[in-house]
Amino acid sequence: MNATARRAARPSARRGLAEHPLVLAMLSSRGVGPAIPALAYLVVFMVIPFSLLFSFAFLTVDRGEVVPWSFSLEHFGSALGDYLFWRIAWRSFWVGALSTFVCLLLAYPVAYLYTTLGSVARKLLLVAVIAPLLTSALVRVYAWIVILGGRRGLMNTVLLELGLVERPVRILNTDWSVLIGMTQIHLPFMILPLIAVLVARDVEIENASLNLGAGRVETFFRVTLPLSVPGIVAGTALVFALSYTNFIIPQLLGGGNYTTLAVQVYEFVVVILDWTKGAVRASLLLGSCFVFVLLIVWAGRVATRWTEARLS
Amino acid sequence: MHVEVDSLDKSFGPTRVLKGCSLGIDRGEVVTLLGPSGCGKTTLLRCIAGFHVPEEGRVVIGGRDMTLVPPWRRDVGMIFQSYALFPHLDVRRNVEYGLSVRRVARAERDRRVAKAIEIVSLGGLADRYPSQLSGGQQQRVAIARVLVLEPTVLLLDEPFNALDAKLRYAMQVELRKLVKNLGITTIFVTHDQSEALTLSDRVAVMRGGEIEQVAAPLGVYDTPASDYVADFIGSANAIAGEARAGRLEIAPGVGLASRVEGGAVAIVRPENLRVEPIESETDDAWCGRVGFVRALGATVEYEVEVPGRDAVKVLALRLASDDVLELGQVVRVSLRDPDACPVLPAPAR
Repeated sequence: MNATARRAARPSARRGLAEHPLVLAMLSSRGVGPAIPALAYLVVFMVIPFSLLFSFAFLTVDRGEVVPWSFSLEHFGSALGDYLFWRIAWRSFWVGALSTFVCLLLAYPVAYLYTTLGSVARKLLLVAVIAPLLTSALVRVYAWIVILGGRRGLMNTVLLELGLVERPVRILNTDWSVLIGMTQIHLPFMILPLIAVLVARDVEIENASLNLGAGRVETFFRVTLPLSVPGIVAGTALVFALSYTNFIIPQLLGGGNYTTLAVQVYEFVVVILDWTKGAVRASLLLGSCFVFVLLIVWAGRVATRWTEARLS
Repeated sequence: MHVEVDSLDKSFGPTRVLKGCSLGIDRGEVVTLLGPSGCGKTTLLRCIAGFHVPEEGRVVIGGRDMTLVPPWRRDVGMIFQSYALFPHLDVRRNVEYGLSVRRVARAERDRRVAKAIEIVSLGGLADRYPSQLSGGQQQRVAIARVLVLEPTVLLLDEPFNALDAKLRYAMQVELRKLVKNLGITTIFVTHDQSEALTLSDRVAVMRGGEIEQVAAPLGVYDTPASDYVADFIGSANAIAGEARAGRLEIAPGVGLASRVEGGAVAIVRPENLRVEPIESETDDAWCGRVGFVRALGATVEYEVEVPGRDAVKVLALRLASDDVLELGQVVRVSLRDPDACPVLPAPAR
């Protein structure tokens, strides 16, 4: 804090609101001051609701009223002891993980292609990547229902017309439709961080590898891919968190009884109105999601020890 | 000829960067491509390395036509301006890279890596990552990484740019000794003329995509092919005039023998001139006033403003007991040795 700010830090009745210490702190360039508005927003709209949600997981709610002094770990215990809970949690995990992996496989070539294009083609590609984000995810999910669904749906019509299948295939309301939907809807979140790292890479390092006798493929796997780990970590963490906690896609493309943890939370809170059970599952979902994201970041950290290397 | 470049043409879009470049380099020779930025020297080097494919002409290395051979099959070592070390590998694995790509056996790999690291005196730093090294150390890693493959041709793209002046000079000397000991044919790119003179057996001066002159360092200095070369290598007073009957008069009463008739330009090096203070201005020679003084310690550079011509650059050796001329002092400039001034045809304008 500079001298002016320190003088102003002593509240004075005669000074106006513009010189209030809180306002001055927000305007100073150091400390947490400038972050106060954002912090206040996060506290009101995230920390407090999450705390409430979390606390519901320990309380008994009876006919819309919290039963006083009903704190217990029993609700957590009964969820964790339930075989069905673990089956559903496992499905949430593998659907999220598999769609994240497929996203990575599909996104990397697109991001790589982007770096080889001229400026006009780059803009067109970027628009194509971002445009889906401008429509609601719900609309895209319904679009998938139209494409995948029914004997006379778009996909089956095409497959039958081309003679690739003899009978209509069933994809909607299976694991496959959920995976396809999640992958398509979350693909931009994988492409964008990958573009960011790949555009910033030093092509001269790849030239050095070519000069030292490595062909293009070997150079890609030995140099380009390892150096893009930060983008892979960012995209993977983002897409996994989104897929693991998404409830619209499994709900609609899974056909109503495709249950994941997120779908269960929705059902308990909105349909069954058992807030305690909903809160228990929501807490476990968010907590485990956080742990998985930390694991992804940690794995990336281990893979990129060289970025941390500094002269001590 | 070990490396031969034959009338290379290379364009990027509408810009013709190389216009029929030809150059032959003997085995073990150190040649510098010298020129200002944008003259095509780096493009020429990259054509030899294989990163660019020329539209016309051939690149021949060791008798084999390499024009269309991809960079990874050329066995030509390159040191990049930015060093381009692999940031995710430590020093040992950076140096090991080429051997590991070639699937060289473990024992031999370790032996050669250790030797290369020792040659560039980086022992003890083998486990560091590039970000933990200074600029000079990074450059040594780049050199070791290439030398470990025992290439017969070494290419260097402005390798000393990022180093400070003192270290740069030390590295230049060290590198010259190294490549001479190992007998590696070396091609350097630089825009720094003193670097070119320090390092090379021959200097190729480039201009606008063409090679203007190729000669030994003192050759390009003493007998430049054009006033462009004279001005680029060292500093020069280019004095234009009209040559008649084998003589070019560059000052009243000062004539030079000239093979050129008509428009000619004389190259007078600053160290070939002498300044003496005089009482008052006369018009029998170059008389003028000192317009600028750069006292560099061992030498002093003067710019003398002579009425009716460009400022004349003069370089004088200096001892501590000598007086340095002052700004505005009236001086006479005279030529030491008229035979040391090449006379060239005037450039077509």
